[in-house]
Amino acid sequence: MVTPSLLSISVFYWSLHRPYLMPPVVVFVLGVIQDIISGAPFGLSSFIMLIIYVIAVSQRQVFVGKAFIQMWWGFMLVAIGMSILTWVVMCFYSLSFIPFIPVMVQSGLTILFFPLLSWIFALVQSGLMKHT
Amino acid sequence: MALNQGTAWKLAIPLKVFFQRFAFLSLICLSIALLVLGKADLVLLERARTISTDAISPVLGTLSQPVNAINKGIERVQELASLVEENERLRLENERLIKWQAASRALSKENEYYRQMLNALSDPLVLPITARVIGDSGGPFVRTLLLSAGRLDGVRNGQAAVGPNGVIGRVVQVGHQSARILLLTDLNSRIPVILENSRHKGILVGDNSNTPKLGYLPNNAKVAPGDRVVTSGDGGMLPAGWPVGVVSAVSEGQISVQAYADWTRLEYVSVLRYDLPGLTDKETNPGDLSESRLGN
Repeated sequence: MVTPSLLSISVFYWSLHRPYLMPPVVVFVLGVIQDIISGAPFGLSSFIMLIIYVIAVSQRQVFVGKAFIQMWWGFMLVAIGMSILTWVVMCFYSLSFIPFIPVMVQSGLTILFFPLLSWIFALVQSGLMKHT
Repeated sequence: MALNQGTAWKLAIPLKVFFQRFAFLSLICLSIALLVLGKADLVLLERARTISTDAISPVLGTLSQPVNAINKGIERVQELASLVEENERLRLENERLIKWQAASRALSKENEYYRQMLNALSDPLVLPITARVIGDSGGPFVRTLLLSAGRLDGVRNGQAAVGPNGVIGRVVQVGHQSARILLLTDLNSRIPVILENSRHKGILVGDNSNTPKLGYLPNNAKVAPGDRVVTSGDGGMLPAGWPVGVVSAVSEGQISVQAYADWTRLEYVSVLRYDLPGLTDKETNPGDLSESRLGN
């Protein structure tokens, strides 16, 4: 059973919109927790999440304040790229050919979940803005 | 004052940026180092994983309860729609099963009698420990489950895990109150199995797909789709004769097996405590319940 990678959506969204809430250390720790829960090799999620973080932070000008569809498009590219990278890393890690379809299913699901989660995050964000 | 603050900021920002860069790079290196160390099978890292899984398991256990409740509620509503047909089907099945029950009772008596005549050793008792599934890897790369039972409950490394329909995998990591099951679909899973009818032995090799492959069969073994696959008991850790799945496809050099387990609806899983005198010791696989909380 493959589930969407909610963590990558969260890391992408918050490093774009509120980078100070998502410093690299937090990204790293979140990745480690993800690896503990999922049983994946230690460091795999941290590695991928840190790359997502650095892409998001470096491309802030391109995305922030633009239409949502543009951000979604950007996330799609990142998600597909990261899925392929994870797959390559895992193939080398286990020294065998891992079926590729579940990987693509996961990144497809993640991309489909992106609007829902970013809508929720946007609500949280406006809530935060009101308080500060 | 405002000016001073401004210059302080101007100085602070590049420093901060530098620190962030540095932190980022060192964290990237750290995660790569973790990956490499993990590949080297470091005992320390394994222990860290066990301890952290243990620490996280109560949280997961609590979180999984409402999720399970919601899933059950949805299932109930779905079942309501087909209640009449389901009832009819179950009645027919029940009739059939009662006949089977009579047959199997007679056969087991007969078997017992033959065993007595031959003075054959019977298989040791298998004691299941049933626990709730509190976590699912959910990713495309590993197929594991987290259970809410651990060393304190008598779970040990290597024990077989069975779902309601058949074997699902074996225990690979045990903490005090949690255990991780490596599903038989995982890339690293190897389960000794036997074809129920032809009695040829092989190894069920997981490959991260939903249909593990049957390998290491003798060359002259005849396999056809529909053949039942059960555990062979080789190696002494898994009890023999537990249902695993059916052969779903036989193609050039590859035999796919469809497991009986319903991967999407695993809520409770039993770990089998199985004691082979002389082959298993108390540390690796305690067969008696004395040290477990369950026995008290």
